[in-house]
Amino acid sequence: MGAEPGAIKPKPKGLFAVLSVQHMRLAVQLGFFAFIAMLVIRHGLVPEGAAIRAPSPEAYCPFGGVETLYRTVTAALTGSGALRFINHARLSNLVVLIALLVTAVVLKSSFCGWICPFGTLQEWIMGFSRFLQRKVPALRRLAKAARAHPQPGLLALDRRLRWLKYGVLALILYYTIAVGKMVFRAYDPYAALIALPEGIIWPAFAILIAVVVLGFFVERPWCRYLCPLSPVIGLFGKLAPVKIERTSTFCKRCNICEVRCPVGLPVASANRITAVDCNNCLKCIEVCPRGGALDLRLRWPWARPAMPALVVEVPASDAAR
Amino acid sequence: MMRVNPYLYGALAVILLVGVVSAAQSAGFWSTDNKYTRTGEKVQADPTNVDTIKGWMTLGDISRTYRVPVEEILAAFNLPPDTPSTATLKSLAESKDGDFEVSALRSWLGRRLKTTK
Repeated sequence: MGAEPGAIKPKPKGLFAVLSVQHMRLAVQLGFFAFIAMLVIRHGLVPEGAAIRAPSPEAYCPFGGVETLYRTVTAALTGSGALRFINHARLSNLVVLIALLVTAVVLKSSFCGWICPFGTLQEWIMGFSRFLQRKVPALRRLAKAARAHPQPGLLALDRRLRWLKYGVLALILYYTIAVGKMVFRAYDPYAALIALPEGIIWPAFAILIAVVVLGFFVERPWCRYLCPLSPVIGLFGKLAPVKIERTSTFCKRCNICEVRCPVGLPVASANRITAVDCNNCLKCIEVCPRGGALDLRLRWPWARPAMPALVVEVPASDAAR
Repeated sequence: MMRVNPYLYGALAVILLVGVVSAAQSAGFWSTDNKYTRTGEKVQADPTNVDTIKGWMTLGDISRTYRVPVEEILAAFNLPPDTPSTATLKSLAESKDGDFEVSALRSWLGRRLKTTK
């Protein structure tokens, strides 16, 4: 598995050849996706009031914990001490939120890249899109042309649109606190998806369709532009001591990591990936051909990075141009 | 500065998330359903506070908690006399019978509670 720093990594052998990090990540994603799918099916099949209790899959959504936090905390502080929640929120939402924040403080956005079922669905949509691109000649030519000639305008739009999710979070929190109800549910594509057996939630279902369609062209569009949970995880993730780091001494600036990054981060020009958008899928590390160039490293937040962020080593081949 | 094995990273992500949830469940700090308490008993409305009435509660639940005959509730909202006491308030609000709303029931019971004190 290991390689001399800066040397080309050897091909994995034995079990590591079969079980790559991405295979493990897929297995974890499948497990959580299957768990939520099981809850959706059970909740849809078991009638209300039946002897068997089938909890709603909404009970496991951490964002429900964010939405009810203000109501629950203020009621606990000012009332009898009993826990109160806004509609559609339960104690389990709060517990899953706490679990997610503990994970974020240690491992940054591992929830996004390894666990979130909606993120998993978007990855599979892009995977299917790539499959179609390989099989359909017209799509293959179109995709090749798009990769060969990236439009600066679209790239700039992509960067600007990523700020939308902060506004979405602020709006949701404001109206939820003001109205005292789960106002976002009517617009949440994840809620629309898991509530499908019970009926269609509008306009959330329309937003879900839009996310699915866009997912064929942009990887993880909901995560990139609109997910209100992402800024919450990102804020707590700033404290995480484990992050992806690039050692410029061993990096040859081949840029394969940037090509592979599902959220289009400038991995090859950063020393430490602290961006909120990074979902810690670790594709960049796996695809990097040089040992020691890109790794997960444990460094306490108060420790200074090995190289100042503004210093970028220019390879001799680039310097000669 | 220490390198972290990516396999260990993935395993830790699962262990931390599932571990915290499991710890909460073991401590009794867990409920996926606001209809039941943490000890498994069905949540009842507060007989002194009509705001605790929820749509999933039944006519029978309201009748017992607020000591109001089911027939009186049915008559007050023009609901059919053969409406079962197991009907949920939400289903009554969604049906085309009568002019029932959960908020209207809260107001009606609130006024009734004041007059019977």
